Amino acid sequence: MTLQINDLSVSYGSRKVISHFTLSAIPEGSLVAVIGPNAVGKSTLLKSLAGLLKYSGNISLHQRVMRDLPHREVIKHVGYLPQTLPQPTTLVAYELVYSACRAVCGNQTNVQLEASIERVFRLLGIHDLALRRLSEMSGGQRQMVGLAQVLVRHPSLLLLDEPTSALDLHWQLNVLEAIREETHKTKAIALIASHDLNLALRFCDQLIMLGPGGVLAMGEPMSVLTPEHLRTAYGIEGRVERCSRGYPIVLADSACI
Amino acid sequence: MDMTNAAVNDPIRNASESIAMDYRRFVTKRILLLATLLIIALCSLLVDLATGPALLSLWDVCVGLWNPDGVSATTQVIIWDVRLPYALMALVVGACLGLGGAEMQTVLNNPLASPFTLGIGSAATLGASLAIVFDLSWIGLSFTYLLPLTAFLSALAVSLLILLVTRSMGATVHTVVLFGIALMFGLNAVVGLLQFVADSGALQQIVFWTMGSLARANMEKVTIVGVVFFVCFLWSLTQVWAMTSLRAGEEQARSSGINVERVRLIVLFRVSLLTAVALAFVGEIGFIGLIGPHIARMMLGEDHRFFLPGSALAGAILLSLSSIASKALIPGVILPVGIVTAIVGIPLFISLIMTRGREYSS
Repeated sequence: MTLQINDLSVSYGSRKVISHFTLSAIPEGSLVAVIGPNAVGKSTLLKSLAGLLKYSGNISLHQRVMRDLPHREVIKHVGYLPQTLPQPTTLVAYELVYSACRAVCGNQTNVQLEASIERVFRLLGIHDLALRRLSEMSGGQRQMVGLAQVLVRHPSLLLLDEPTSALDLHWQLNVLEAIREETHKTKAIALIASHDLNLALRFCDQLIMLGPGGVLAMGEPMSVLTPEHLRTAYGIEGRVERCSRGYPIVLADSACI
Repeated sequence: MDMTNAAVNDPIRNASESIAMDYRRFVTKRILLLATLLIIALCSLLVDLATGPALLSLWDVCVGLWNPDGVSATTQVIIWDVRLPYALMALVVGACLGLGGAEMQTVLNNPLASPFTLGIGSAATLGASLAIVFDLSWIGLSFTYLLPLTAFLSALAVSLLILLVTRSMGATVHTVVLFGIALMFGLNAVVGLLQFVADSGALQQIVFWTMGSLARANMEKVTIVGVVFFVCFLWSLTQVWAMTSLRAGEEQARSSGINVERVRLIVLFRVSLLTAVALAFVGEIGFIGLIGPHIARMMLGEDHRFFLPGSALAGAILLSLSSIASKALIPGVILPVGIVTAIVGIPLFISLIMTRGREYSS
């Protein structure tokens, strides 16, 4: 199973946000970070993959053209986590995840659904929050619940828009570890839009770097995060070095003048 | 023995039973709360039946309901023909407004929304005022049925207008709310104009209508409202999952594959129907559709499987209690119930906001 994107263009009204993106095929079981400065179309890319925006060009998953798939099929295969957190309401976490599943994937039996909610809540380490109201949770906790809502459906394409934006360091590592485990185990594909280059470098198999002119680079993290690319995309002087444990880390030295 | 050991030793399995089990216990508690609300509603109905100028005890009422021949003919008439339609009307109208308000608050994602937000209440008033001022009785219908009919048609027409406009503009929350508010002011202005040109008799009737009253109830009308409520309630149950997940936010719901605009349009249509039918027979009764859902939310949370019936019950109880108050506040006088709901409703609403202010501000 692969994800292929060919000649993808998306506009908001007359403003073209993505124009003629073509990416090399993304193989199953891979975790891919979509990085780049603000307003280059990271979220737009994920949204159009999720089928929430009109686009021209071709997206295919499993050799099947997404545009031709019925809504029900798309929902079954694609899990999209929006950038906005679930709003604080009197709903408890379990109800939210349960009802979102019941509303769309009616083919799961109750037992299956309960088991899969159970598994995901434990995978993310939020089983203690299951019966707590969203209004009594912190932003980070709500973000985890939102992620659980997506993972419960076992999508083969995960589209996560800044899934760690509200999380502390512990949970950032925890969540990415969980997503990586899930992706590798179920042979899914995960696309993660992120601003955290170090996390991307640490966890992802591939990076897609978007710049003002479109796709700037794609491939192995180390080959994408070069000083030249950092300069073009972010307008910074930066470098990648190895820390004392051998992990590569991105260092931003200064903003270009 | 082996099996129990296996369950204890296998942490995943053991724990896997715990969340689902905990949740089931949680659900049971809510079912009990719902049952409590139902009992309160029934008690309120009995007290409502026992309240009025002819002094009847609760015992008389119970006997009269259970075995009509066991009480005097007068008591029988008072209970069955005078008070029962009135008391039942309070329950069904309250339930309609409570259910409509709850659904409206969910699809507009706004705790201040109610069936009146979209001007449906004003539309019903306009319809009734038109019939009064232009004296449409030549159609051959008595005012008893003419007013509800014109009120209903006008409310439905306005609802359809809102639906058409919002659908063509994408059914976002802002479109619906802004258009609804604009429409409400517009309709109120037209009602004002009608009042200005009306003669004093017609004016009095319009004013009486806007106060809302259960006094025009009879069993036939109760049945009509009851049937509409029942149908709408069952219909709303088909969308409980979508509405529940909508509470986490529009984007969240959409990302789980829910067609938010479609849900919103269907719900708006249903709320219009509920409101139009309920208000057509009783005139303007505010606040029930606003406060009922708040009470239900505090007691039952927002899983719509419990929130919707809870809200309908809370609305029914509120209007039933208001009906009792409307008879008991000034002995011998039945106040228009719309005035009572407003007088009792405003302080209640403010205290709800005060206690829950923190939640809204976050």
